[in-house]
Amino acid sequence: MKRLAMGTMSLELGQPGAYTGALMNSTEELVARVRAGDEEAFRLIFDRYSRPILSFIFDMVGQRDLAEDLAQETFVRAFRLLDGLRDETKLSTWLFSIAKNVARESLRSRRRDAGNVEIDGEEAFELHDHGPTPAGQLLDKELSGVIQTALMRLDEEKRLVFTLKILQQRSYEEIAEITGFSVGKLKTDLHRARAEMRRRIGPYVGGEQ
Amino acid sequence: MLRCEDCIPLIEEYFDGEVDATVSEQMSAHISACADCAAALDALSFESEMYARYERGIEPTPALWARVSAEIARGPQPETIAERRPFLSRARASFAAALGALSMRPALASSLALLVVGVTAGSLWLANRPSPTNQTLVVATTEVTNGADVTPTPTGPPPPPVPVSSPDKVDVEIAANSKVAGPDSYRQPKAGVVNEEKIPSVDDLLNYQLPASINRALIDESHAVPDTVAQLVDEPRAGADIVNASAQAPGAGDKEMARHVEQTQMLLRSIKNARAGEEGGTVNVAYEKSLSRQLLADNATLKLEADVKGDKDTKQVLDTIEPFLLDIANMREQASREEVRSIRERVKKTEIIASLQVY
Repeated sequence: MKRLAMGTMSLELGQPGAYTGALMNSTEELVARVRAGDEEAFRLIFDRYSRPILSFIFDMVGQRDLAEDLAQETFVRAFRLLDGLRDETKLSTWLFSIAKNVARESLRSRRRDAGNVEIDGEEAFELHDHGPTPAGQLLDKELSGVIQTALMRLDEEKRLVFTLKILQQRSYEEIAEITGFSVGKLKTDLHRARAEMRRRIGPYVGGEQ
Repeated sequence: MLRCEDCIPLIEEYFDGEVDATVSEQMSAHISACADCAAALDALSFESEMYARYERGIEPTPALWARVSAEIARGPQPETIAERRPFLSRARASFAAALGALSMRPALASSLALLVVGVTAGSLWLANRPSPTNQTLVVATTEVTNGADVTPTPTGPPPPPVPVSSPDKVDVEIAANSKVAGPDSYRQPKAGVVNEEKIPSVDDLLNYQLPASINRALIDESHAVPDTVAQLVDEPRAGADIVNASAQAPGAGDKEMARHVEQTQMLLRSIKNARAGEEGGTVNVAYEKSLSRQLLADNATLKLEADVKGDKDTKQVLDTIEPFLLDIANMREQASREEVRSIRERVKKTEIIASLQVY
């Protein structure tokens, strides 16, 4: 496969119209083009899915740098495994499955390498910076910090289901495909995760909700 | 018409749009007429709006795509020799991972160490005991003695003394001793003598005289030479030495600990002296963060080793270091002045650098 044209792609990302190409192509077309050797098509897939994938991984691991590393690993694996994708219409679900695997592998590895971090009851995650911000943004900034802290305290499976449903707006069917959980289990996990989040965030927003 | 007790259990699924059309219509009808169920639905809407305001402060950057494309262009790379971790490092990591849970349970770790010592000594006892061709144990049966207690009495000449040798020759000597009698002669009963193989009791094991070669392995400046397994078991430090004797040279653990403390001191000094750069008043602590993560993993391993050795002083030092390492490891690479100042203040207040210097 030819070397990807990094330079030009880098310049386009983040500029007005950068996502236009991604939005104009169906996932089936993009997958077919990548399989045919069109490197540009994979950049369009990255443009389309990098934001949700990166935020999903960040919600799972709670660290910005690590999330970026794992998002990179997700897309590299996706590129190399693309021939194994059976249903091109489910590219998004497939990418989330890879991201889920990558994130969970990292979480397991972290537990092994620094078991004492969790043994002491303190999970390793970073909080948002609560430094000075414009008054109008302060509430959202603080709220985001509270949500992230509560999210990181959910156990891994509940966090996975909660993130996919509430923050990524995935359907039960998609979540079942991504996680391999039965719909019954994910409903139970989701209900419990909602209750735990409510209990932890409730005091901040001033009530039980 | 649905009732509240039918509606409430399904309200989350209804809100998520995951109930079928018929149930959805029935629930809509009920909720429009029921204040309690409507309130439950409002609460879910409120939460949903709140989560929609969740800002992660993270966006895909051009640099991320550059990294992805570079990695793809590079293709799958076999692990190079330079990237491989040293064998001992990998072995130590695997050992630490396997016994990771023990760091929470010092009692279990100590028990395991004692068990290893016991099994080792038991094996030595079985392998080194006198050959049945030279010495037989006369065990009286109940018919002969009418139930009287009879202590097994060794007959025949005493066993030859175990030659003094270096610890690494012990296994060879044991193998040689075992060969003297040979498997066939060992099993052959003699006429008129009940030649039963006696299973050693716990007392037998504890009173077993340690071979001189093992004694020599245990001699160090701070410990008396144990004569029996019982003395050995009574001294956890000595027991731990036996467990580690074949794994590392004496003092290797101390050197590692000294290096760990030295690196931690360097890290804390670096944080203490860190100053904000020109860009946005943040402090680049990427190196410190990375170093701290490595030290955190080492700290866990060293704590495990200290636990096994029963070395409370070392463990206390490691416990003191750990919160600092954890905080630095969890900093952002571009840390705010406030984050750095908070850790710097704690470093000063606790005088941890000076304490580590003394160690």
